[in-house]
Amino acid sequence: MDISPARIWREKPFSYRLEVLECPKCKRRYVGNVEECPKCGAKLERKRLPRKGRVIAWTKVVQVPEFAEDFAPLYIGLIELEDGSRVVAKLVDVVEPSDGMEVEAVLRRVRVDGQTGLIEYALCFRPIL
Amino acid sequence: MVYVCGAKVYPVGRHYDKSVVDMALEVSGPLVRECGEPEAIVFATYLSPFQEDFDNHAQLFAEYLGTDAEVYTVASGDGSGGAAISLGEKLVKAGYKRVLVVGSDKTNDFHSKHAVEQLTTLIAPYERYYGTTYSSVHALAARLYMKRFNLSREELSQWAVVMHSNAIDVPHAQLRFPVKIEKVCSSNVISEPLRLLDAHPFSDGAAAVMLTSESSPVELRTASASSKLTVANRDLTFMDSTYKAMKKLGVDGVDAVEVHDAFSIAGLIALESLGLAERGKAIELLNERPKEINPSGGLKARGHPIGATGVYQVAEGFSAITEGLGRLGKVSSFLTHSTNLMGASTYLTYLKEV
Repeated sequence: MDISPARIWREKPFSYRLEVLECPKCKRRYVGNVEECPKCGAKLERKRLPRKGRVIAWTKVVQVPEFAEDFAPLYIGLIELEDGSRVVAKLVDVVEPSDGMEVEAVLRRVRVDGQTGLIEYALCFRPIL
Repeated sequence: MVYVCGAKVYPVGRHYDKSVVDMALEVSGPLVRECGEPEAIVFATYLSPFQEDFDNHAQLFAEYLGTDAEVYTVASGDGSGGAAISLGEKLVKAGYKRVLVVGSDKTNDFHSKHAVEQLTTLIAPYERYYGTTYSSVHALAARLYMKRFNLSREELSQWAVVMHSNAIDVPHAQLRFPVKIEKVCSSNVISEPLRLLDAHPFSDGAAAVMLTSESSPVELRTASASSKLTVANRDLTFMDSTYKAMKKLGVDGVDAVEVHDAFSIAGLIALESLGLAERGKAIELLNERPKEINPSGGLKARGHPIGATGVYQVAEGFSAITEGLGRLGKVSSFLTHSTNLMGASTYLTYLKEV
């Protein structure tokens, strides 16, 4: 799969810093780079989500997409952060995850472009040391 | 009123010798000769652009069909087939006499690991760059559902057992052999807790349905709704869009139903979201009425040619009402349930004998 430098660049706020857009009026949240709340029109504010949380559910993925073969098996977790918001992310540095496990965000390599060698990084979650 | 005047299906399976357009023509040619020329064509497909490196199927299909009908491609992930039926209905309501809805798709032109990767395109970018797969989304749902409602691994396996026995008498189904609970429970893990026999097979296939405003033996009505695509922000144990669509449809009881069971767990959740079973109790319904739930064998055993599946379901409903389907036999009403990524959106079709 070709990795687009433009896409990595525009996705950085969330994938490197867990930044989401929040509407000050209606409190709706978006991940991306829009200016106004599509629902109510107020100017959106960037907000950084907490970097710690706990695992609500997890799965060990054995049948992985081709680009992730080097990482197989993958652990994908549904994580509830300290403020109650939820993210789906990769769990790293774990042997056997468990429900309720306390985790923290850590920047890791998630994909390497086979053609150009471009490396994509994103926040993953590891057990709190 | 919108009616179905005919339907054709191509056997679901591995068709290295047929392209997406070939399969679409094989089912549509006879259907057009039987029902008459359509004024519009709605073509559903999802994975074929990745599989065939070509993304103008509907246009080539129309050329080879030898028609000057207006043509549209509809995509709504793995719910594309249901979405096409829903739009076809609206075109007939808008005044067209005949609308051909055809779904055709492929997953087998490459090694299955490519299809696994191509199916991740259903998932929102910020959730998929880790390697989140179609199966892992269902696996998270299974974890949450099994914990919340105390469903055992053996109970979950019952879904595959019923689907396989339903498919045996369905000539176009892909997996026409029985399986035992022990075999499901010990098949290879795909994404814990889901195993190979919880999953849809990789399928190629095409189905076509002719919708019309002229009185025909089967009447059709649709209702659709959407909800959240992002996995983190929804209740994975329920399909909100299905619940909303069913409310819009306003139907109380049905003789049989085809639900979008890409994985066993999705089948159980679908039955509950449709209101056919109480939450956590779908397994009881499955055991009480096995022949009426996915009489074709569902995505699990009939197969899941991604963008075409929703059209297959409606074609099967038409067969069930006009001549009988598999071990279900003949019925007078039928509901089909097609969803985009496990309920991000839902397209329901209700078929009734006139």
